[in-house]
Amino acid sequence: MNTSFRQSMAWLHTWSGLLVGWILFAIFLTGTVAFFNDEITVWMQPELKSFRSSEQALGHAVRFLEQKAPEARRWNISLPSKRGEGVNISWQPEQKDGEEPRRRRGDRSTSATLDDTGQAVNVRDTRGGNFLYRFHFNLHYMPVIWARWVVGFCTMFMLVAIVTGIVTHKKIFTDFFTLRLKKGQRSWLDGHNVTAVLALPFHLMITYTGLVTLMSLYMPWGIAANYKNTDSFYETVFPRGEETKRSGVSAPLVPLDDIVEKATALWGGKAPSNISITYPGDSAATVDITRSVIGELSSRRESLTFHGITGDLMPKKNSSGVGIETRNIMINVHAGRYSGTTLRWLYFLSGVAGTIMIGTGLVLWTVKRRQKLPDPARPHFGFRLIEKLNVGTIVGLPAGVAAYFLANRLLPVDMAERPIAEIDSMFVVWAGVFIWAMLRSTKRAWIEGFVAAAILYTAVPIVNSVTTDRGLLNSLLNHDWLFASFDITMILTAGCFFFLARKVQNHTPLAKPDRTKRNRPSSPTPNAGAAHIEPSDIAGVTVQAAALDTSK
Amino acid sequence: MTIKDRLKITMRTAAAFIGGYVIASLGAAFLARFLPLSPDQASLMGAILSFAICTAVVMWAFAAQSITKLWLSMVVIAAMLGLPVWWSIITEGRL
Amino acid sequence: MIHIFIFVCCLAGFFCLAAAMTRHQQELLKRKLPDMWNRPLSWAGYLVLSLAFILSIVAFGGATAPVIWLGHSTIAALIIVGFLTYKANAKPVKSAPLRNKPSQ
Repeated sequence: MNTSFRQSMAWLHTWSGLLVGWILFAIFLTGTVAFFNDEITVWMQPELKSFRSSEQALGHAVRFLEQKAPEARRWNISLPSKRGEGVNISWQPEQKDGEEPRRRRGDRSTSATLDDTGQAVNVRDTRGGNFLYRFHFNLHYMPVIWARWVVGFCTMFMLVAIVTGIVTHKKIFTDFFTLRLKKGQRSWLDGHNVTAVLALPFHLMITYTGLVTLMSLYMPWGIAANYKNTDSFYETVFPRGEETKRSGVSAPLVPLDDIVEKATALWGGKAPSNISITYPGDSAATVDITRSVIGELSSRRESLTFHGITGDLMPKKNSSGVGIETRNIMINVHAGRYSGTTLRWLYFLSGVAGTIMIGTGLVLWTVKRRQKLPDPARPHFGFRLIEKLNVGTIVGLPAGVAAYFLANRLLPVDMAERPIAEIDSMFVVWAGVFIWAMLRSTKRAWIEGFVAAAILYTAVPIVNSVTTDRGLLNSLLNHDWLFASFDITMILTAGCFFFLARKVQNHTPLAKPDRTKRNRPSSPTPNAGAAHIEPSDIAGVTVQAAALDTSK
Repeated sequence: MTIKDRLKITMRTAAAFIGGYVIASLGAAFLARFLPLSPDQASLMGAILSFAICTAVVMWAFAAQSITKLWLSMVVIAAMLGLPVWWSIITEGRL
Repeated sequence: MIHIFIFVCCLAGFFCLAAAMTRHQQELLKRKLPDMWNRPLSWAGYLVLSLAFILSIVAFGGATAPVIWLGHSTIAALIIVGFLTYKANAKPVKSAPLRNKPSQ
């Protein structure tokens, strides 16, 4: 039982990992980057300079809104936090009958970003880090619901691959610290194992909680078992409070500073991050104020509602219970929104480990099988396709991300549909790497792809310092740590890609002399004693696993 | 790989996909109905735990010795989860 | 600051754990230790890791502490692996068990 169980798990690990590995790589990479989505957005809007005081900002925002949209149904003010800069305001015009509500974020006709002095800044139009964040679960160029199902399907595969990986990895503790370089297949396996095992808690957590974030889509049956109508479930769990109606009598809005003060006192000193005013200027106005999530793991973004004229707190019951608490904790742990800078970097580095794990896993698949091919110099179509897909994804996507940043700086600021052009340039570069990989030999494609990615990443800080006045030197002199760390991260990433390019360049396949001996694919595994993964994981495994039934 | 082997792989994969999702869904519904929590909280817990059920079923589908037994056991488990849910919905209704 | 404390504790913990394993002693300590050292070293490793965990609970409270501790220990362990690999690579060590078929 034991051996065959391990064998079948190894088989499952290999194939489930391979099937969805490329999409998972993209999900992991963009998700890792998205831990810094707000910071990236700030970097992608260099026109915005930092704020001094948030009280002043609030006053400016209200004055701006009173002028710009006195008739609006709702005003929304996002206060600057440590993470983002600038006050983002938006307003929702009173809806006319039969008109579709416009909800697209960043629509410039109903939103603005204010600077220190309360003037609207003409920032370049960009989706910023939010595009990468959304790509992480919505992908792109396809309907959102489909994309989410694809992502969920792949994530489920990932969960299976992780658990089967644990089962398969016999010497999880003896090999805990082991990474043997220059040993061909061994090194890839060690690289895969080390990044997998050391960051295992992270991988398990991020995968499972990732499924939980979209569980109402994937697994609505828990709700369906108890509720005829899902709306009544949502009303129980996330009560929206009573819907107010406009009274038609105008009345002055309570000073928002008072409300911020009250709310901060009720929250024990925690700062608000978001204020929205419904029916401003009307006597039925209400003010919703939402707490900043930094430093809060367990609770949902807690919000309070105040009367817009008297400033009294309006009663509202928040649901609580083990289910909602578990869900909230899981979602918060997944997104890491509560985390400060240090923890955010830890998330980021763990995410990088995960991305490397998937990348090495994909490469390992080809490395293992290359030696077993009937003629390793001329692999069959399927094998070549997988190799090319590996290059195209592992090199192409990071190169595309660099292109996205470059496009942000290089495209004309007033260009129409600028955000879409930025996104398109990412996919153009990604597709370019794919096509390049198809045209070149695999080894050349790896080297040239890595070099191209390295050059693109090197170009980011250079182009930044040429096109803006916030280059690396200036940011260091002005203690602008966000810009400085962004540029330095780009340089380090470029360094990694140069290093990889050199590694591949200098690499000579170790197994060459052995190939003649190992010509027969049917021969048992050459290093059976050493394999972490049981012999079955190599080439002949398909047959073995399939034959499990017949053997018993 | 013979046709027979391919067929077996297909059967296992189908068991993993269909059985995995069906049993996980019924498990979520079962937990939602019978966990000693308020209905809304139980619904959430059921959905949260269902992914663990799904993982276990997928692994089982590829580890089980006999495919016939696998499919039969899956049907039995699905029935054991589904019938009580069905019965309790019939008798007690939904919110 | 507390982050640095926790991180250093994790680093020390994993250092002890690696030093407790015979196969890593050469790179880490430049010599082999007698086997009787292995057990106390691994205990020390677990102890220091627990200390880091307690530190993060004290500093960040029960909810966030595990996440922070796991983050730091993940990175610390990766650094130890990187160090071991670098050492082993800089001067090929004969004594490392040759588990692969020699592939010349």
